[in-house]
Amino acid sequence: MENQNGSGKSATPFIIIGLIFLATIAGIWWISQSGAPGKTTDQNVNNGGNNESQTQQAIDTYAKASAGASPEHFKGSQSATVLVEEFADFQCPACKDMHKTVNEINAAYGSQIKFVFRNYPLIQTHPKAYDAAVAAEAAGLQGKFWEMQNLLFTNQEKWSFEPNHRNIFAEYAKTIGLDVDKFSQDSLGITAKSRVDADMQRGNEVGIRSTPTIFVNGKPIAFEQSTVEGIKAAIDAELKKSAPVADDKKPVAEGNNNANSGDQKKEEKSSDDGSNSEANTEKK
Amino acid sequence: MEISENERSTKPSAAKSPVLAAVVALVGIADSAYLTAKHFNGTKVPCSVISGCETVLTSSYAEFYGIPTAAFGVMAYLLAFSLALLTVFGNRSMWNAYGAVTVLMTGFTLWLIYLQAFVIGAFCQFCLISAATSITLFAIYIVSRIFRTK
Repeated sequence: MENQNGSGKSATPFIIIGLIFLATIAGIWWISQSGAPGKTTDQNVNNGGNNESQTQQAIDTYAKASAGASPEHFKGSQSATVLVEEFADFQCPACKDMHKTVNEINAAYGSQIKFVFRNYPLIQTHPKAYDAAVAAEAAGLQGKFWEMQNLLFTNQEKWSFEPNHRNIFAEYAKTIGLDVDKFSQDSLGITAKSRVDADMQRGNEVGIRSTPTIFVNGKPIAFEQSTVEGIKAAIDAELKKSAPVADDKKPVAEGNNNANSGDQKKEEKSSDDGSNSEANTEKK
Repeated sequence: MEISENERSTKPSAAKSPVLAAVVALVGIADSAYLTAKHFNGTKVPCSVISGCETVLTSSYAEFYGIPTAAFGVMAYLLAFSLALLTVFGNRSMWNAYGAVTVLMTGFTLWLIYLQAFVIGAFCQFCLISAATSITLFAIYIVSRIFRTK
């Protein structure tokens, strides 16, 4: 394998090749160890609270936006003072990861928060995301939105590249015990579609640039901070604002409350009065 | 730009091509190494209206036999780089081996483009950069051969 034609320089190319090889291995190792590769994320809503006026502007835009699908799908308590809202796309891999994150959040806070899921299928880049959102809403018409939502996320790579994805959705419908005929009809009907469209409209109005995007009481959480810890910090800050006296009321791990629970209403009401004025003064 | 240009005027392209090929192969190494690292890293970027995020990189075609597709790219580009460099340093027979490697790489690249376009239905930015470098490597070889035979 020795290069004899090179007239004395024969070792040089091998040294260079060896160095490039080592640099490549080192580079791969280094990037794969680092938390976030410095890729641009194109988020206009991207701010970690360091730019106050921008955050305030985002909150104002959020407050003015149309309501989205009504009634919304939510976990936790209807009357909770902290609203966590997620805009997601079923075909988006980062949203699949966020699904796990959000499950942890819901398990940790239970009825202390209201978690709302909004459909924001990126129809330009994800050809099956809209159909998946409609399937989730169609399941919702039979009261099993969250079951379908969970199956769609956890099996994302199984249906994303299948031409017959609708059949796969029908299988999921069967798995979670839906009336499959009704599900298939609803998947083509206007009711489920118009719910998705309403959510997308809301997404456009609140200024979604990418999925997943999480809002905590109208404040967009930057993607880099949308980890379990990051979202918890944002929720805790809001909880503190709304109930400064009840500091000892730490988040308790509870199971996922799937259903609406109006039970917490009285408890929340009592702390409401002091909290609102407090929140207002904080903002000004 | 080479001083040796006059000396090698009989085959000008054959002299310059391996240098160019080595440089392009370095781009390919960097690109596929980045994709490989991201594969092992597992952190995702959000999906936006314009870019195709990780649809491609998390698809079932992102690895073969447990090895990330991008890692095959790293190996292929390292090989192409090595062969081009050996040619630069005077081992002319390596240039044909380089040609053979780029033919295989281009074939693989075309198949990956087909997968993105018709099976996955989404493109991946860094995969397309790799496709461009692979095809460029092949084109450099073809051009060098055309000029040589003339």
